[in-house]
Amino acid sequence: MEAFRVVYLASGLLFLAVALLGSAWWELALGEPAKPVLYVGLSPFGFETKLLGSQAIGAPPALNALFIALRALAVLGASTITAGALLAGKPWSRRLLNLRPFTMSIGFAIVVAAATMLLPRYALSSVPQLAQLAPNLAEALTPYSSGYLRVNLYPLTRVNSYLDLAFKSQLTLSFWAALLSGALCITGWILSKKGAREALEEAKPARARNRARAVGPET
Amino acid sequence: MSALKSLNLVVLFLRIATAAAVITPFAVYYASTGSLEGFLFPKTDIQLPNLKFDVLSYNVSKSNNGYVLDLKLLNTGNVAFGITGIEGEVSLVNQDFKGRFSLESPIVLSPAREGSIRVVLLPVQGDLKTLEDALSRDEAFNVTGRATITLSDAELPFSFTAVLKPSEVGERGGF
Repeated sequence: MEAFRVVYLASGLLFLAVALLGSAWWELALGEPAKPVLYVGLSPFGFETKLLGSQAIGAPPALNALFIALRALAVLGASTITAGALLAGKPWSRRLLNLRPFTMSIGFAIVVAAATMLLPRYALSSVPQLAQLAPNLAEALTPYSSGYLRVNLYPLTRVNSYLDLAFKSQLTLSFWAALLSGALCITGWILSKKGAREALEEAKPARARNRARAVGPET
Repeated sequence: MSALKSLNLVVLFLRIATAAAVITPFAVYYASTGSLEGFLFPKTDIQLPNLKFDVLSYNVSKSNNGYVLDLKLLNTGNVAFGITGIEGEVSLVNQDFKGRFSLESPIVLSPAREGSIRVVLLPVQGDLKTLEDALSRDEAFNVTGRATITLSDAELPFSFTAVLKPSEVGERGGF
């Protein structure tokens, strides 16, 4: 099996596992991570919010449909990559190879980065008191931040006091597995292009020789 | 079947499968909600837990070498509420006194249940007389520490810092 097919195969199988597992790619937990007071989990395949262990807000049907569509596309993309990598003898096998693991994981990272940057700004501009009440809200939402959310109690109690609540925002193992799958996928694509270019360059002199042989007797 | 025909068939299959993967969930969800408004912005009731407790009574007594604060609480909310740990330091802003406090017995109160917590304060630097005199003059004191509260099955660890005066604590019936 060619090297690029092995790399694509690993990428396809890994992304298939991530898509079928369907767990959160980014999560936020307020409180003890094992028993959080508030939990928010997001991935291209679902959205979950839990307040004290029970579901707090359900996603609207349009968003649920989008998540199922993205999951179906991910399963389809990963399955076709796997099939394309395995069916080396078929002339159409390369058409099955695609870059969905790469585009989906990078797209998700961009969405999370934009959301964690823009949402606090939007929240702070709509509720200006929030800047005083939770001064590090923007930082706390960023993945791998300080690990606490500071709540300034002065606006509420008029006493100089604050609370540092345990807070965790992180990209999960599923996201890193998807990103690894994306990296393997793009590596496979590069190897495949390189292989095709080398094959083309090898074919050029042979074609020229053949042409010269064919032209030779006439001259 | 020629290679070209197979290739075209594969491309066609991929296009149909991709279109079906996108269209089917939207069609099914839209059909189940019946209206565009319900599909995009459904009416949802957010079930927020009611967290509330009353301080029924409090008593500060002197023990062998420190203070004991007895606090009687009543859970008036609809979720179990508990305090599983408190520890920290108290120091006077303008006097030489520092003390450590800790929770003696953790409690978890189910809704409509009452219970007591005991917090013990022991001096580390200075004596209790200094603290008593300062508090009687309504001098400010620093409180810093860590606590863990439980809400239903969840746990919320946090640290706190406050600069308080006895009159302010009295006005609010607590911190």
